[in-house]
Amino acid sequence: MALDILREKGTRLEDQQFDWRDLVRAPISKLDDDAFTRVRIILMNGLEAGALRFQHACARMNADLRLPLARIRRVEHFQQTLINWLLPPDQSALETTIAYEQAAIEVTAHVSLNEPDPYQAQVYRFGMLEDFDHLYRFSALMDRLDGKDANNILQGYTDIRQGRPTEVEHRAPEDDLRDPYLKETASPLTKLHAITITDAEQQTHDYYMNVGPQFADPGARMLYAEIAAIEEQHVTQYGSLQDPAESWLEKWLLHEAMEVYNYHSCMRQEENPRIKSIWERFTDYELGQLHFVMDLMRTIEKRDPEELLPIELPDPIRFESHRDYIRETLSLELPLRAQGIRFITADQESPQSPSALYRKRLNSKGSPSQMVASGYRWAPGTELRAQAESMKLV
Amino acid sequence: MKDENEAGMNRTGMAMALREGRVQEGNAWKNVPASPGDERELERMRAAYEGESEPIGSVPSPASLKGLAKTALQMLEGHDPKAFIDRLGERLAFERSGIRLYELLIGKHRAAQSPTGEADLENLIRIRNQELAHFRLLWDSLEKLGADPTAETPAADHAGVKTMGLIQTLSDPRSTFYQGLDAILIAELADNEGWRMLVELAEGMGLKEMAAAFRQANAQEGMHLEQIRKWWEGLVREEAGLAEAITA
Repeated sequence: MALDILREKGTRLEDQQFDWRDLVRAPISKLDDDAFTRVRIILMNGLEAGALRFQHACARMNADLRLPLARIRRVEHFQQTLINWLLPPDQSALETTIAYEQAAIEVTAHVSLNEPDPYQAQVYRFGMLEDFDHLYRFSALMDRLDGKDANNILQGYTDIRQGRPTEVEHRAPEDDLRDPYLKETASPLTKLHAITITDAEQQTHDYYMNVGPQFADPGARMLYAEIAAIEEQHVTQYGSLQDPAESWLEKWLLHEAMEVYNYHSCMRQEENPRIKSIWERFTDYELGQLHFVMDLMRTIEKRDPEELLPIELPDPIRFESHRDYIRETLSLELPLRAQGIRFITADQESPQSPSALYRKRLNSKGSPSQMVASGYRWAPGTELRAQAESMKLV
Repeated sequence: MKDENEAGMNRTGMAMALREGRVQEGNAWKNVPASPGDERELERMRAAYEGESEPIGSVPSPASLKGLAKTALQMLEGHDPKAFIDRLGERLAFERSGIRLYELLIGKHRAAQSPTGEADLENLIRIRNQELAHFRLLWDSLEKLGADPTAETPAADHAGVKTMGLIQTLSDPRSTFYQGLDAILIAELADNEGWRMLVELAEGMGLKEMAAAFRQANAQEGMHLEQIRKWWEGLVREEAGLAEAITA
């Protein structure tokens, strides 16, 4: 059933309330809940973190918006708390990392498949193949450091194999910028996609920056340092897809619409009833926040917000395995590199180009992602299974 | 070479902040308000959460592997295999992480940045390989029961949580060989108890062949513990300057 976001008013802002026991609930089960329940939790945590980040920046630049921003931001903060605290404590930082990469791969795959603008779709495919490689590197690390199988987290939905090797993903800043959509002509879905993926990637960057130094192993510390650098590049890339000519209020409105869209997508597909009720409640909260911002737009900018929003929400984000699509993209687009806002093949990249020089310098003492995954091939039950096969029984 | 006993500027104790420390202690106990209640408040809140919490997960049902399940159920002679499968899953996870722990210790031995005492590389590698064989034994045993050895059971998950501190100690480039050995000792002590119970469980369930194989693994684990303890004691004495006295 499509959601009419212009008619549905959701929960009024003053009725969006919490208490500590409501915020700190029993977490999901790492073992029994579906991997996509975890993916949804990670995604929505990222989008709430993005809401807070945007709204703080907006408040610094807009005195008249400070109070309404502070009111909505308080609710977004608690929404993020409730969601992020659903992650279970037996899920280690490395296991959570595996889940972050699964979220990045599968959500970006969906977005690239459904993005109406062919250039923007290309950008998403380009980034997806890089996150795909990160999953392989972190899986190798988890196998070799902890003796654990990444597939216990992935549950057979997402392949563990090399993508565009992380060591070649390092690019000069000028090769990470992309051509933005134009606010007048872009489809609303294009705008929602760009905000969704930017927020998701930024939370991944921030997560790696926080947990990286918690590891004792120098291999892990180096790998987190290296992959966090790519996530920073991804935030640069995806952030530049958005039209800088949108007003602050317009961006805020779109962010709220994006949150409604994503919560609604989660709600439609969630199988755990306890979690589904959270997605339902927060869909209503976000509708309330969206209408609150729509009123601000009418009074402050004297604009009709309905002109900026889709009457009906686009089809929901599909939280499912995109294995075949990713394999096909790997076979076609693995050797791509970036040159300015364009994509070129590896053989077209000059050894003297800014990115080639940048990469050479960063990797001059070796690449952590190569080192950690040297010769790594995933097998059910970890690579030790193959070693054990060839051993004599006791 | 690293020496964790070297005296230095450790700033954590009260004695390092002679004047300020006294002021701080005095300030905490003066007539200042403290949060009402006592530490039982925290216990009561934890109990409330325990009352509402579900288990961390379930043991996958062996019946999901239909072909094997029949044989397995016959083998088990009517016993409920869930608890046993959970224990097997736990040992499998622990052995697999144990292999990685030994690899870290072997790395420290090879790097030779701290005293290794009587420990020798050949024996360390032998123990590591025996842990690998135990992992294989557990894998095969789970398969015989119609269970999925790739599944992470709740006890395996708990084992992973418990092992994290050991991995942190051993993978830290600042820790010495002795500190690594100290972590391995915890693993071997737990492993020995785990294998002892597995033998008992397999016997109790009438799985004679499996019990015999587990007994053999348990005996090897006993030797690992003995060996590790000997190296560990040697290094403790050496560091305390008691090595000669003991030898004499």
